[in-house]
Amino acid sequence: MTRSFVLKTFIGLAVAGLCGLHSTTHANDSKDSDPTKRFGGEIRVAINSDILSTNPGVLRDGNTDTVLYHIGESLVGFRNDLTVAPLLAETITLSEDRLTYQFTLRRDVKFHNGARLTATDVKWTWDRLLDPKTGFRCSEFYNGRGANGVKIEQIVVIDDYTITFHLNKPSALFLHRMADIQCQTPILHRSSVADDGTWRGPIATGPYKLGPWKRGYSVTLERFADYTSASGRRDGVVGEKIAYADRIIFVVAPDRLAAKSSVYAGNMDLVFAVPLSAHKEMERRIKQKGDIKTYHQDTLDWTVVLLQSTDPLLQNPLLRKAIAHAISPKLVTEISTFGLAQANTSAVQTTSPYHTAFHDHWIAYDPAKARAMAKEAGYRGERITIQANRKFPYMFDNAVAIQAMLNAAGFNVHIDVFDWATQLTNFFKGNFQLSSFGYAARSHPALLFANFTGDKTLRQSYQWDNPKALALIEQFENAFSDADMQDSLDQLYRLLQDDVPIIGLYNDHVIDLSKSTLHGYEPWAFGRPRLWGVWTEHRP
Amino acid sequence: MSLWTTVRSRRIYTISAFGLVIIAVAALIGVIYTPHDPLALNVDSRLAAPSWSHWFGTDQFGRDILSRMLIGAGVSLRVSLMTVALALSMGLILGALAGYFGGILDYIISGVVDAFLALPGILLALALIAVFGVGEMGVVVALGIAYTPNVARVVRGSVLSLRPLGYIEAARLLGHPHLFIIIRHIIPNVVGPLTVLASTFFAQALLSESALSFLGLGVPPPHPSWGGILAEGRVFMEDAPWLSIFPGLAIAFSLLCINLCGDALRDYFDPRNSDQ
Amino acid sequence: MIYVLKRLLASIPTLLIVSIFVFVLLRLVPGDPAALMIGDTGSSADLDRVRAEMGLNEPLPVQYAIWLGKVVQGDLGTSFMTQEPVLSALLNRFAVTLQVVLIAFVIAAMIAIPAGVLAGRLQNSRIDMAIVFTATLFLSLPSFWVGMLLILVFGTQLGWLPTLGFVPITDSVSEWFAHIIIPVMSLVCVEMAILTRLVRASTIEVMRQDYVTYARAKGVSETRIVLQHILKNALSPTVTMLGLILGSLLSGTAVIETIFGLPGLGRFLVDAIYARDYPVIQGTLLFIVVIYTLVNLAVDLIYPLLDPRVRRS
Repeated sequence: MTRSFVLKTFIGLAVAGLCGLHSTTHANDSKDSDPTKRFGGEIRVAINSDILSTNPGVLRDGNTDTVLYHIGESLVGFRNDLTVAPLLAETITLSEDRLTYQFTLRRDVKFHNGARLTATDVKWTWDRLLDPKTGFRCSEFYNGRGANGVKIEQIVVIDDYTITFHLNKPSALFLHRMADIQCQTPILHRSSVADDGTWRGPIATGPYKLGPWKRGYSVTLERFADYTSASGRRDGVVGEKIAYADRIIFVVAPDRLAAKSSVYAGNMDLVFAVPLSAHKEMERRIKQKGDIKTYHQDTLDWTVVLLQSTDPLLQNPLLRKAIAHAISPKLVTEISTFGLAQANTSAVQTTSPYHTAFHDHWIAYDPAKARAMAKEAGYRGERITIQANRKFPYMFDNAVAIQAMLNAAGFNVHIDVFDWATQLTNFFKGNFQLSSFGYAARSHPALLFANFTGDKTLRQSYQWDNPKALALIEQFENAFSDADMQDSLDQLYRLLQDDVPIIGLYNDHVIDLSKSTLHGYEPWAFGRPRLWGVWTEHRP
Repeated sequence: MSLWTTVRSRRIYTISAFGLVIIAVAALIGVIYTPHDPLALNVDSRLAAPSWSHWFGTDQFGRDILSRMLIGAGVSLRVSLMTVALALSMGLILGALAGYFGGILDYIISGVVDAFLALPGILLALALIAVFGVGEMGVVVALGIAYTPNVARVVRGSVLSLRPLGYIEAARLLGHPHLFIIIRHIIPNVVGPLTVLASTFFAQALLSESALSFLGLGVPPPHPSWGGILAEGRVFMEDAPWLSIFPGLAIAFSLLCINLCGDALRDYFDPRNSDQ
Repeated sequence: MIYVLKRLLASIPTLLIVSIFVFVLLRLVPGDPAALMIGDTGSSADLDRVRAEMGLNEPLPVQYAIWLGKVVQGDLGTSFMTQEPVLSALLNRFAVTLQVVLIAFVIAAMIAIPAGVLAGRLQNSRIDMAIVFTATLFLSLPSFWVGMLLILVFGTQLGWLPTLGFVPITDSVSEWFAHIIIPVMSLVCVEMAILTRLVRASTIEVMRQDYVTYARAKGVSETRIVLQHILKNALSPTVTMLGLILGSLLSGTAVIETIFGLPGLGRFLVDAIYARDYPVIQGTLLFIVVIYTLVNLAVDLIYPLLDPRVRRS
């Protein structure tokens, strides 16, 4: 490491410097005059299932992630536009050989137990994550055994506030993975873990700390009084974070419609991802009573139909293409999301800067052509089933719409409804013909492509088994420039249209619902709430 | 006194019997004719309120609710009927075997029956559906198995109460084979309690199917059950109440008729409860 | 006492049958708990590792033996999903269900017993017809439909009550009360219907007995006849049924608990079935059977106290 240069993330936005210590401007200045703004009170948020644990990245699901990113902070985090920015780090520099990342830490950071954050805490946290005994779900990102082959060779503490990570090979997505929401890597104090290695609870650096967790009822977070916010605009999980509310109570409410009613009744401040079917009704209530607010957001979740290319019938690419001609993603989107979402046939999310006009182009909707093509492919009206479930109503609705379109184009399609456990197991085993499915939010299109592309003999859950695609995916790790990344993504999408292993439909659209007395709330592309910078009006 | 006189004896029985006939006719009409295609999507007329062309309105796919309910009548009735038939036949066999032969066979069957009785029906069905697959047959088999122990217990009880009467012993002395005795002497005597039980379970099956639909494992598409339409319509309760009102009323009305007809059957087989 | 012991011993085969049945059934259910655990983020290698952690790679009889061995020592294992000990989770959930069911039950009984006796005594009158019709109507409504209507009316339209969630009585008595009213009302509707019909049938049965006719002939007042003879004798068969109903209710409130967000036993089990959380499903079903057995035993013990005929024999 002879000469360091300031790292640019592959999206091309400078990371360091944006977060300078001297910057004191608050983007929320305009809101400071807001007379309702106040500290104190509590915010009640409905979650549709209890959190699984308080152990980030180890025993997790979506709700667990949501609660935990209020408590813990990683070295880096996402901005709203999904670029990566320093969070606990102040600057990040990458060596010229692209193998060593050096992080300098912010000096004013305290843990929930009052201890100061130092580089040894970072090392301790990462050693624990990389220890197989911890059970970190995404250890493959970093141990060299994953598809990317990237391995953290060494983590070295330089001084109290400087630490270096040494990789075995360059990885353009390294920081992106570190910022991941599903595989959170918050820096923890070692007292989070008992002497025998068992998990006690997160002692971290976030604006909120863990309060009472009543299993099955609620999780309470309490304001961390000693939190020193980073400066800069509130953006993603970085920038200024002010904890206005004394407490955030996540209330377990399995039925989202009942949760919606409880906002109407005034018992809940926020419900996120309300069923889109309630859209009109909520708009009406805003007009008539004005006691609620709604927030719209396109998310990163990608809703798709999977086509099993190892199926005796569907292994014929011509037939898969015929199916693509018979389905109008626009129409499916219109039906399932009440016109709220935009159709998106590409794994490059609509919110991504890489989603150029090229990614809006897809195989034309043409039932007559589909019919002719299917005939040419030797299709004789054999029964084709599409798997769906009722746990995620949109997958069911998509299946109904797709069935109707395919049958209108002369196919003989039936819907098989499973419970989610069965459908997901079938997905892992590759055991389906068509499957109405959805990929959870990936922060970067490259990560999404990498998730479903691979050798089916190695892993049956890979959807796209094409060596050319795989080669393109390997290039991602070297795509340090924007243009390289765009080029790889474009080539992959073009190839996807030849093979049709997946027909993309849309990126999920979510509506969050709050009482009108909640202020400062903004949704973001992950479709899950962030409650710093949010306050409730004083209730008489 | 015939069944007919019992039904005629109280106006409410007459009305409910008439109601059942209407429902059955509706189900038959659904097989032959529906005003619209119950499966065709129509984006332009989504969530339309009841009107002259769509009497009961349309759902989120623009499908005609009346047409779907006509088809659904058949599905719901068929599922309930098959469930009852399955539970009755399995329960009859198990109960008759246990009661008739007694001894170790009785001990085993009763043990199993008691064990199943203790398991909550809906939840047992939920697990069974996961095994047999979501589908009309899955629901039927799951609910059928869940109801079987009740039937077996009633049949066994009836058979045991027949034994002291002596004519089974007599038939045995005459050298009649067991099967003959069971069919000839035992089954006719349990028809009464079984018919009453059947009406109860018929109602139960309809209710349970709608509860399963609510929990996400009812009869799957394309052909909807009433419970399924109701469960789907629930999300539009405030926006498009017709989606839940009409199937809800249909379920409540048929259950009311079935339960009241069950009362009539009870009066007929066990006249002490009425004042004839 | 010996009778109680004998009954308890006799229930052991039942428990064994249930546990084996449930165990085998769960393994037949397609859907891999490990797959659910890691979702679409994991790989097949993860899948294998998680399965091994869960002990799912052992042969079935071995898995059963390990589980049974622990159960005998009072350990129901830990949940796959939450790593929570099953027994304590289960007792917490059961406490919630028990509160709602018992309160609903008492209210239902207070309405149903007078209504049932009245209907029975005035058999075939207009009042009887009205009561029977109402009870049958309530019996004919899907419970989630009733729940949704109650939320719509009391929560959304009138805004009188919270419609969601549960607050332990130890936290706040008034909040606790406010939160359980609507779920209790939904349950009362169904329970009341069943009970009313039962009490009515028993009353009619008793009214036919000679001693009622005799008492009437002697000129005993109607009030005394109702209190002394009818109520007393009509209640005993009802109590037997109570046991059965209560047993199924304790576990059968899954739908109501899902709608109202109550952390009760029924929802716990439904969630576990969807998540293929084997230890939770096995433990909960075993627990339900034990409760069922105990309730029926209790009913058998109470029965002779209520029914003089049984006591004599």
